[in-house]
Amino acid sequence: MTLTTPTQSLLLARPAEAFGPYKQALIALGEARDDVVVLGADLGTSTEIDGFQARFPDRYFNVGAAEQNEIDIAVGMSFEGDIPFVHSFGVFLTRRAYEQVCVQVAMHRANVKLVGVIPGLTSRLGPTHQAIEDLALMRTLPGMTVLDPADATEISQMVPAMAEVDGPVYARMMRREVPVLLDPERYRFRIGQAVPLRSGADVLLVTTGLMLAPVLAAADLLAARGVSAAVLHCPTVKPLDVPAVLDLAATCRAVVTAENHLVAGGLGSSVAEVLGERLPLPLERVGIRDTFAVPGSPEYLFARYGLDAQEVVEAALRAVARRVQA
Amino acid sequence: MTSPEEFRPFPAPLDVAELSAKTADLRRLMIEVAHRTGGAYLAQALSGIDLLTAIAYRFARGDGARPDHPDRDRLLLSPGHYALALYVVLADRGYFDRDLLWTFKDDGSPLELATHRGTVPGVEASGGSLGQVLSLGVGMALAARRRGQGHRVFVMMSDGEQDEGQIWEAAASAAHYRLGNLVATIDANGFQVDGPCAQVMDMEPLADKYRAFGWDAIECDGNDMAAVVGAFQALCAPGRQRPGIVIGRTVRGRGISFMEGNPAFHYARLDPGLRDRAMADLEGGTDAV
Repeated sequence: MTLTTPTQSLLLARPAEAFGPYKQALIALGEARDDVVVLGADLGTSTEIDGFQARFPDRYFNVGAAEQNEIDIAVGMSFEGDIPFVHSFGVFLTRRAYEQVCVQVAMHRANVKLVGVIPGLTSRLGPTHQAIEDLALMRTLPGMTVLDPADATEISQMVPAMAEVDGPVYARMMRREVPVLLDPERYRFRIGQAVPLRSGADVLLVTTGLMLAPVLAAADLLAARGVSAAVLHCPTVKPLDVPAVLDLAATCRAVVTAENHLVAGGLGSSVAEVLGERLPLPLERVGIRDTFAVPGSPEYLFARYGLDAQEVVEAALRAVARRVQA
Repeated sequence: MTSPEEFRPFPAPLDVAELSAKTADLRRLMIEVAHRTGGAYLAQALSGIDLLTAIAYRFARGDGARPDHPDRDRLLLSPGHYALALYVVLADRGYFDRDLLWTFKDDGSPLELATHRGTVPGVEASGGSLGQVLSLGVGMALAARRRGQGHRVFVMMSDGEQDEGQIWEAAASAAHYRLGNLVATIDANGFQVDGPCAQVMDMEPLADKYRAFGWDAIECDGNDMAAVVGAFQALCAPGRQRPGIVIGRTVRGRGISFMEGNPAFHYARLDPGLRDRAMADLEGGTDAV
């Protein structure tokens, strides 16, 4: 069967690459809204907030390498009506300052946007810098919105959407060279909305963040082996688009999740919870197993820890083999 | 046309004699609440009430009838266990119905054992987890300055919570950003949960530490209203470029003879006999509260 569907046109015919989409999106947001302030923790260039700093110096606050203070300062600003975007590497915002995020940001539903740069295995500095459980930590906080964008198109649209929503948001953020997979002319990001990118009848591949490209490649590989795979992209990990997951899962009767994160606590767990409660189906989760990762290049690490198309294909074949016919 | 409401001034500040009478009234009210509601963390509420009264009735502009007024000074309580002291002040200032005090820490009551923003008007921070509220104050002071607002941010802390590292992150940032609109105070009663601060974790000399971080620090007898007022007056002078802190040396259970320095009354339950003895200790005041 042909896999061409109307929604497939949301993807560019040829993937491209953009440089620093977050940096540009943040400057654009600063132009559009004067209630947006930016906080950094001694990682101005590394988190791509230096452009905002140059353009809006009176709305930029570097608090030094002090993430706990950074987050609570942002909460104080939000109580006064500002919309603070708070930056560091994802590990430091979520691991180091977890209690501040919990009892000041989440508990008050503060209008604070946490931007955790360098998601999952994309840091070269090893496990101290690899945010592999940040989605789990943030997802369990009541009322927290959790985002993991896949490409530059999504980042550009996600940044203003974060300012629009009234409440706490944690967003993973890619920097420097970022893939462009989605067509900016056609794609429209909305918080809480999953995006069907491909229809299929045998297995549903649910993905978030950087796993989108390997999952699309896996769908092609599966098609070549006679397995029809649907693809559902979930840039919003929380709140999960439950109707979209259930609708597509019901037509496929087997599900695979894929994420640049531990299989525990993130997208895979979210989907497992929904299926377990509402629609028990064979499920395979692709992601980092119960381990910290070694240092290395993203390419090396994604292959070593099974975050690639081949792993998705094998997981899909396992799931389909266990498939229960309705 | 501007409504008369917008011209209504904040309540007038009290002088030292009035403040002293007020703290006696507020102490009586705390004793009564502790007696009627089965107990309270009274030791620190009694040590810190003079500092809190000076801020709330003299230096921090605020009006219970208009708790969200943008020009109000922000008053943030960091150690949430001092809740009762803040509640009696807010009730007296008309932020909520005084009768609510008799529901203190009842299930379902907004007057929780530790302060929580959003429960009653006037509680602007959640202080149950120590060491975080000075950072909130830095954020509020930065926001006020960026918006060109003239109000101050007051933060009341305890000495025990000075152990928390985040306090010193916040102290550094307040001085770095030259937040003259931030005025803090420490109720330095010398005790933390496990015993005397000097034995549990000695953070003295606190004034020298804050000065080294770039603050103006004034130490005084935190239960002597004239001294307290003098200290805050110096740090609330207009045009200041440095954050200021009043380190008030205080006594746990201050004002009640059998509670002063007595660890048995950290969390105090007062039967009618103890209540009467406590009330007898509290001379002066106006009984107006």
